[in-house]
Amino acid sequence: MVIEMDAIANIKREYINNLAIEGKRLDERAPDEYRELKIIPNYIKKAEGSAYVELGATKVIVGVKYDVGTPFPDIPNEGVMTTSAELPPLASPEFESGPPGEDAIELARVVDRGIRESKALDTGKLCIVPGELVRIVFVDIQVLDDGGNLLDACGIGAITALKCAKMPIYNAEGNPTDEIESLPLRKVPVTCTIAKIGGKLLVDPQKDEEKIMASRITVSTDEDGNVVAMQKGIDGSFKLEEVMEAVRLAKIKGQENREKILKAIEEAE
Amino acid sequence: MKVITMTRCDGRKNDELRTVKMEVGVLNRADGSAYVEWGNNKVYAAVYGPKEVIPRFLARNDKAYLRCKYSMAPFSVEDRKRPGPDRRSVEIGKVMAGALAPAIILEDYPNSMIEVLVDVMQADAGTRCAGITAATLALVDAGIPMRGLVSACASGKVDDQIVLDLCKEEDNSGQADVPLAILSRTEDITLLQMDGIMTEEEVDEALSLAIKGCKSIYQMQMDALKSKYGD
Amino acid sequence: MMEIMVGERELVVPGTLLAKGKYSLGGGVTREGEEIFSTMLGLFYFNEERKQVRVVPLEGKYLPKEGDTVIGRIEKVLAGKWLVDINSAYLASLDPKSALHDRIEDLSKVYDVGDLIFAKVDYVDEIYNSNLFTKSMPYGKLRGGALVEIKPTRVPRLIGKKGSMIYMIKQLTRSKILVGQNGLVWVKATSGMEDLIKRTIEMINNQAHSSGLTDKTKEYLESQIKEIEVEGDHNDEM
Repeated sequence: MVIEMDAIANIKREYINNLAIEGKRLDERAPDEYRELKIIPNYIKKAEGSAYVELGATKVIVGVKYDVGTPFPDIPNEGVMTTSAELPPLASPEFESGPPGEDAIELARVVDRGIRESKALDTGKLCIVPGELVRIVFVDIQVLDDGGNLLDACGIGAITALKCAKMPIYNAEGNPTDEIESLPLRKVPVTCTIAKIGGKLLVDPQKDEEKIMASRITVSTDEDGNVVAMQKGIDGSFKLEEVMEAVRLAKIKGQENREKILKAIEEAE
Repeated sequence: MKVITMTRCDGRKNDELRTVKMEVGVLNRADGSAYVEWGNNKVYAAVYGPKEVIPRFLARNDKAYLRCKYSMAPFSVEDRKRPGPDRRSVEIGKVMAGALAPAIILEDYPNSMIEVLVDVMQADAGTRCAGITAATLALVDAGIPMRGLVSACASGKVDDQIVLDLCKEEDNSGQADVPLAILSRTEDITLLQMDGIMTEEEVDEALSLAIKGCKSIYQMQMDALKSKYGD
Repeated sequence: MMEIMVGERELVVPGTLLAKGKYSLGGGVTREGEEIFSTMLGLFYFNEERKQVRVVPLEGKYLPKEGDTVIGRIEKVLAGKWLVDINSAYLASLDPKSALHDRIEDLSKVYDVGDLIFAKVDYVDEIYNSNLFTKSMPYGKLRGGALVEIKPTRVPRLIGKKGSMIYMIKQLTRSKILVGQNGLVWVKATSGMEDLIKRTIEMINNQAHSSGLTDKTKEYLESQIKEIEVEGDHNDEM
């Protein structure tokens, strides 16, 4: 677990809890309101796909690179997607340098599952020469500034980067051509992270809220309203009714953010 | 949702658990321990603590520091697993801690550490649920004060049906997997993960079914604890 | 509204609902609103007089309490004090002022690493750092004898009501026995007796929760002692 170097004072914790009970928040947002979301697709020219995302004070960059290689023996006609995340020291006084700790690993895996499990990426279409050559898609998350809710910022960044990624088309012999194509992305799954504070559900927790939240749940949904991934995080707990309320919130907010993603990509082209 | 009786891989009904066996206090050196056999899963849990915190900077003045480690033996799976923690094991360790912490009265042991170790000897889907179930027994066996028992069980979606306790084949070919753990007394959900594709209604059904499964596991946990002292 | 939900000496698990109402809380229980739950695997006891509910745990590590007598092993000799392993989550400290009347340069000459001591817990802080005392009798270094370890939760059973169990054992075996609250027991007797006492203590450790244990123990000891005496006579005659 990330060590809290500047533990929030009990007074602040009580204050935030009391605000929540009254349906209010520190930054005057509504309980179901996201902070300002800024998305810049194709931010990194050297990457095949990328996105810079600002969610309130949180800043992340996600880059998509590809490689070609032999497929896994148990899926000989499918390509591969792999996601990793870095929480480098520059992003927060609480991050240490070194190999990814459990928070970075959880972040990468939750973002990955939302995309993988929704079958958003058609891995069959990543196959170049059946049984011999497939495309390997790397999604690399770099956090720049931890202002709270890295999960959603990175989730939005990842799907945006994948959606605007362009890669050279390979011919049937397995050689690259001069033409480029988009990734076979069938859907745009979006994560929605909700904090439980003062017994209430608050969407998109900012850093101070994150430090004192009793629990946290992330729900990924697709444009058909399906739930494609869920992760209850940290400790604390939820009642069944609270989980279902989170699912309903995630569908609505996920759709809102999906529209922002698609708009940002459209405007960039 | 219309329930069609389907033939599952081992002939179970939709809401039927695999055979589960539990034993408390199986490892001598540990402060508390338990063994759970769940279908073909074979899982050990050991608890060490409360003990001194190492490294020191993790110590907290207000409560004990809980560390959970999940690992799989190289021979526990079909394709030998390289020894050492992989990313999946690290994530499972984290969600396990999140599942158990709410049940432990950590405030009773400030400046100390409680270590929970789950080792999977044979895996057949549902190891984290078996692990959490065993870890709870081990914590009680170690004499660590708890608000109640944490019971875990997974449900899922296979062939468009919501079913309880997926076995390996169902996990591989199924459409969704939902591991869940509750503090049985209050039905507070302390572990919840899901991957797959489900509608909101299916999620509701899957969670309710998993909670039912957890309650059956809870009965078995109580029996296992009491039978250690049965006269 | 006050109601007890479980029976006396009933075996309960963490989370078992024990009672509802304004009872006072002993160990092994926690209150949530009107309801009182067990936090341990143990036996439920209700004290009618004090209207107190408690659960005596069957398992648990030793946590030092002021006034406890413990048996410890010297773990480290530092420049200004000893660190003692008292079979707990934390090492205890023994200050020379609490151990000696005179000043000594080399502390290891008094207690060295590995030495066993019988001590009193003088002070414990909120984070379980404890200070020991060995300055006066009966405390101090233990020489010879044998060490038995039992679960700290079984110590009250080994001691018995008003010390009846331990007194009975000492009497019958004509031995010296020191019981530490931390589950360590030091025994000094003839070698045949030491083994018997060890077995007896282990029996009590394993059956602490059953009833009629004192009588059972007495019977066991008497029959075993007879055997030892018969064997002794037999060997003398050989």
